[in-house]
Amino acid sequence: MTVFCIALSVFLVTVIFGMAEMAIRSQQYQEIKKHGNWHVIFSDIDRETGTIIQSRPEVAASSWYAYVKEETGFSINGKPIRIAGIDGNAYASMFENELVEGGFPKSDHEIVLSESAKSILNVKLGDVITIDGMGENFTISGFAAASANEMRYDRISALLSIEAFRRYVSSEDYTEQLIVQLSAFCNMQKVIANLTRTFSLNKKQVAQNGNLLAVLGQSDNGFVIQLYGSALVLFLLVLTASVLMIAGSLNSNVMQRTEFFGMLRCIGATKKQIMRLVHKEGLHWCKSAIPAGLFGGIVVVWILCAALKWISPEYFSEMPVFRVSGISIVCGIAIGILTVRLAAQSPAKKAANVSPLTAVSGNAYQSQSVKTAAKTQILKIDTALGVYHATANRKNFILMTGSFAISIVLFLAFSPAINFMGHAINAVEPYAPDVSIISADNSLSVPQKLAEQFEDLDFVKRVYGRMFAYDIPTKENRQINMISYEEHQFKWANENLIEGAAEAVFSEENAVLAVYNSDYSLHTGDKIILNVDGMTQELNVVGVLSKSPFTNTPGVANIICTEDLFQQLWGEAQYTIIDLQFRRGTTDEEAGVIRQMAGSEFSFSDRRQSNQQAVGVYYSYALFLYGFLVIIALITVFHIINSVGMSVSARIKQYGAMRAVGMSTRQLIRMVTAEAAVYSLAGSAAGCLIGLPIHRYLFEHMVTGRWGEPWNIPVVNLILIVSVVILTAIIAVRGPSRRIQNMSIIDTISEQ
Amino acid sequence: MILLFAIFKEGDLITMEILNVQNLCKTYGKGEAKVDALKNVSFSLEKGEFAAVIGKSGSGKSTLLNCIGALDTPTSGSITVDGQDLFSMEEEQRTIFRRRNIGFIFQSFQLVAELNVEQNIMFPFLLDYRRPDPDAIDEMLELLGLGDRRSHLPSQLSGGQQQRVAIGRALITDPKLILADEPTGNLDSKNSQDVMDLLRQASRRYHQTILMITHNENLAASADRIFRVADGLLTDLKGKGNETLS
Repeated sequence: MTVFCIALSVFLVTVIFGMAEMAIRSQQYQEIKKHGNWHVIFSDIDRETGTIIQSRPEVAASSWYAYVKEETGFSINGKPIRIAGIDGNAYASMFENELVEGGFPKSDHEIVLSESAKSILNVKLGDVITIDGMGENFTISGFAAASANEMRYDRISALLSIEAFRRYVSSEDYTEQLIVQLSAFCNMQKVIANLTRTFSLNKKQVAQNGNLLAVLGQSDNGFVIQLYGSALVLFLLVLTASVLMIAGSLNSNVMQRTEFFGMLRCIGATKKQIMRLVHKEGLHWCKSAIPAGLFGGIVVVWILCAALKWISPEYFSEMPVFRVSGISIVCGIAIGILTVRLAAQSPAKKAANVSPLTAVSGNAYQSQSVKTAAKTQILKIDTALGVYHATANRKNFILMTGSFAISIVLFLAFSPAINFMGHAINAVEPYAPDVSIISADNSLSVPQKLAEQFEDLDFVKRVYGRMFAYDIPTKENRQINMISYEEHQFKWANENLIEGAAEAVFSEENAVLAVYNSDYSLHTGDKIILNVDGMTQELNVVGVLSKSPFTNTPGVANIICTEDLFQQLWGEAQYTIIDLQFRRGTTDEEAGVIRQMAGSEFSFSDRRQSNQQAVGVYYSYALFLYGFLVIIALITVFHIINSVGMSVSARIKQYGAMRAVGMSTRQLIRMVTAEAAVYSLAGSAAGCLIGLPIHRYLFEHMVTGRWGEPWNIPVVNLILIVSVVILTAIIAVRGPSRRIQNMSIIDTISEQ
Repeated sequence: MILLFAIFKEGDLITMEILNVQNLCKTYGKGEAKVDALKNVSFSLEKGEFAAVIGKSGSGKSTLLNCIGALDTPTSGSITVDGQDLFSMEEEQRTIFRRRNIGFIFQSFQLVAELNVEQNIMFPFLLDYRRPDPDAIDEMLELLGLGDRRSHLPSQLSGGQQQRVAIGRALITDPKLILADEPTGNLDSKNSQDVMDLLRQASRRYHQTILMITHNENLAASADRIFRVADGLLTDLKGKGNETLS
């Protein structure tokens, strides 16, 4: 059991730190992929200063860099573009994975376009394009990965060599900046501060790649510190639980060998020698427990990484699967040794303090001091003794109940974070579209027929459109936005319903749903009287949603209605937006078909990449949060099993005596079960009593305050953790039961 | 035959066999480490007999008692208590039989620390989920001289008192057989004498069949029958112990 406890703690810590490192690495890759592998940009500096900075030994790569936005007036085939210029070598080292096809411009008449240009402009590698506003022809030398924003807002970017950029773009339209990549081995903050001071630069002139520096642990931003900080908190939690578990195990081990230690003292062993013996014994267990825990931990990290890659291949594509985290191994070994060293302290002292007389007198086993007799009037003798064993020693009862309760409290305290995550990261909501066709001026202009045509395509899973009417004045001089939903969207909205009934919008007249807005609070039964061109129209609120996919403008309520009601109010109207969801495995070419069908009249928004990123972020958080909850549950499970096992070990001789005078095995098991049941019931009650107010407080602060979702007793969470506790207590009795069944009465009695 | 099942009154002639041990063998270990703790032991006890088993340490007397009490399983042979073969029963059944028909008195008392004197005495009843007649408990406490100690915990009693509680626990169910393993081993001479008096009284007054193990030949002298165990062999010394031993 002790070996298992050590292995478990090593395993947990290896997984915690392994996953923390994987998360940091994954973030580093993501940041490099999103923003490039540069660390600092200096603006408004002269060439001479730039040259001095470039020659600094800490600078690994650097280049002059410039860009112009769409507004500058450059376009291709009428599509406004943004253009950037950079040195080829610096681009290779700072944006190495960005080029997905071809190469960096080798001459002034070569250009790299973002990948989105392929479908928007229908071009390929080697094609010649003309940039309007520049009047120059360029051969496409390569395509760079489009960012999520470019995809979403249908933008095109172009990249030239810095020489070509300087040649074709008027210097009045841009200012050059020096983009710098620092050596990985220097103290980046110190170098940046030093350069800033040396050249008397102000804050505006120095822009850091904050996110990347944060994940590299090179900034004041505490991302890495926070992540490792969380891992450290978990480390301490595991350490405490493990020390408790192992100390209990060692204690009982020592108790059972009191005579042996007495004998050692009799034949001349010093107290120090006995303490060393107990410590060495503990460390001896580490020999097999630490490698087992490390191996298990590493394998689980591999499995988790593989699972993340499978769930969100785009987002976690750079995450290594078969990688061994050095820090997790060091921490795993550390916790193994640390727990044993700490846990062995008290048992070692106990063993050292055994009197040599103990061996001679044979009074090695003394049952715990008993102050009052068990109550056998109401309960059966076996149950009564079990209850008595659990409650007789108040200190032990509080400790055991407390240790059961703390797991429930931790579980309940942590679970509002899951609700928070569910609300905060909403791109993975079922209604998130893959692509959208949007009216260019937010008017009701996207034909409903188009939606019907999209529905016929094989790769399209769902099509749903919405009509919008903005800033409609009400009789109370307030404003509302009206949005029409069809059945899919109502079904999804139903999941966020906090008041009323969503179905009522179909059955009742002028029925609408209101979205929770702290500035414009609406409730079921409220009436909204619209004031449109002097005409009044009454709307009845039949339900309230905690949230919607639309931004809540302060003071403006978002009101959801059926398409019929919308058309009844605003006449025969087309959609403002049509959303499409694709089947898994839909290609870019197929997405391009949608673009062509919609034509250039409407904006096309491809959200697949940003959705993938959101899915990635969601699963990273989910993995961390659920992982934490699983760890709490695991600690609970093993702690309970261990505690019950220890309790039986401590009384095994007493049980032998009871069997000798006629107690059956079944009665003994019932006795142990009663003891475990008292701990788990008292622990569950205490855990719920303390945990529920904490859950409520955190829920109201994290969720209710932001999204209006009222606090309810977390029945599912409660049932889950209390079931874990009670089921574990039942399972925990099995091991000791087997020991009781196999116990030799004679050996047990004759030892006394 | 019908007489055997009659309820005997104090002083009646007792001819009913309570314990029968036939060809009992107990072997520990294998090969060269094999030890024959009991070799073909056979004997029987009639109702109301008080028998003592004497022998040196390691002679096999405790093994014999443990086998008879079904605490240990013999290698071969049979043991019947009140006509019931102990080892033909299932474990659970055997435990219940033992609880109801065999009373144990151990050298180290083996009282339940969490129960008071009264509860310890009625422990076999409690295990049967029954309540004994309160008068019977009162009578037993008086017999044991523990009337004023009924609510005391074992830790609040002297060794002699604890052993008396253990005797009370063994007697309360009116078992067919009482097995006592060195009942005075942990007691001083005064308390030893009291315990022996109690056992003798139980045998004479209630016709309890008692098998006691002791290495003290003087204590064995007060038994009706004496057996000697040496190297796993049982010898029936017959007659009054004091006569044979002298």
